[in-house]
Amino acid sequence: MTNGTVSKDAAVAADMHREAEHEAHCDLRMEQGGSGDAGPAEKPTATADQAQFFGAYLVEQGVVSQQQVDEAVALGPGDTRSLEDVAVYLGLMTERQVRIVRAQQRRAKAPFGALALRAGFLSEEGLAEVNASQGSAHFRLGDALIRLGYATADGIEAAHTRFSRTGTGPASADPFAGEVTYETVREQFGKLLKRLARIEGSVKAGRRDGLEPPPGAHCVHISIDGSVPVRFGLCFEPALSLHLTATMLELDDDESDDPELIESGVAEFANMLAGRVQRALRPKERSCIKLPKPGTPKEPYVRCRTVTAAGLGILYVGVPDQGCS
Amino acid sequence: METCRTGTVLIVDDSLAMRRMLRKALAPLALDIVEAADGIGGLKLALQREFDVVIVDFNMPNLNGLAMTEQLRSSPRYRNTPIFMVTSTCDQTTVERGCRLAVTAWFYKPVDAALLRAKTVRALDQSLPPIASGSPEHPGARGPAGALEEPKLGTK
Repeated sequence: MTNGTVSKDAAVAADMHREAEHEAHCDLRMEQGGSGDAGPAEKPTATADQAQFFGAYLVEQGVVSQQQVDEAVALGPGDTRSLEDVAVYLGLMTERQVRIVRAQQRRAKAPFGALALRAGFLSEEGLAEVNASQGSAHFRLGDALIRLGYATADGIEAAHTRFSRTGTGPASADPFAGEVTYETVREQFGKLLKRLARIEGSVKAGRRDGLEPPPGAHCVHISIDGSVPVRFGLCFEPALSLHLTATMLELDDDESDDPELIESGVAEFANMLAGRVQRALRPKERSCIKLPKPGTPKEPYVRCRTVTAAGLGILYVGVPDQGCS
Repeated sequence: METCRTGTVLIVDDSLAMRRMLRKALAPLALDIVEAADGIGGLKLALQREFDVVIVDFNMPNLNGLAMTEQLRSSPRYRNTPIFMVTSTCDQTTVERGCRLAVTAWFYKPVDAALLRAKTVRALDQSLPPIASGSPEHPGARGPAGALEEPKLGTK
């Protein structure tokens, strides 16, 4: 296993070197978490065909060019990320948790995954997800494209979400039809909540009509303007608002017990969620995320979704005009 | 390797949580960090002192991040200062406009703290040879620092 700090720095330095080569052209790459370290070379567990299939989808969607896919595929298996970097990339572990496990690993000489499990930083389900992603041809291709500076992590993730949903490649004819918007919001909501609030296990959603936000809930609503407007609202119960804010800012709960900070943390969560939804729905279309507004919306939003995560309740206010299917 | 640097950083974000998050991310560098809660406040602070790095939120009330960057870039003093844009959006037109304004780097939220520190260190360490300032072909190129002009405070 490589030394975490050094390898992370090396990866960041490598990213910068590549970026410097692109800067002159002002390419549109954005920075985002997950500059992984290059782990030891290992044999790929998935076929090149799988990578090419996903690659063809990325080309068709206009995410990257065929030449860029070919270049990424040619990088080969040596560009594999370490397990811990995949865990961070997927939002299942924090960098701090990785450092703790790496320190334990130096003493215990045990596999990273086993120690992360023992420490409670990764669930068995999470470890399986990390292992699957690490060996996935899709992940490898996406990772190579990100490393080459041809795509962003969020862009690849969004494309993979659409790819997985359609199963056979091309997205459905009308990506905004029916429940897609709601499903996209819910899907991204769960992912982001897990990542930022460090909630392990599943985020369960249920239907309950006519719910009103509980006393003391922190509610926020936000909209994305564009040809297909998206609006949604969230209400967090006080305990979850506190936990979310504290985890996002890496503070102890008592340090973050500031109403203004909590309100801001919840609003920022909604803002990030809107960004993910925007990228998932229409990465190439011009659209604009409006500033998050506190409180529940005045419009007739559908209040029908409840979400339970780690025993902490959230009232998912929902998107308008789509009913409670 | 993260070591302390000398430098001043201006963080402009309407979100208290994001300002706290960015400040925490940069804390290991022991920089002098000043915060503003919107673009207009950020511009006023930029008038009072010169900052080595400016970190701006894209989506802010009154004056958004791009409009603020535009005003900063119109000042000779900030023509070449590294400006990082923090955003949750990825609208290509926006990014292209940011490129024209020579935004130094873009960061998606949630911001990767290690990458932000690395970029900040590089920005502080970087010292390119000066070239003639005011070249419209090279709006982001480094040039001699000029006197700070009063930016036109306006909302867009």
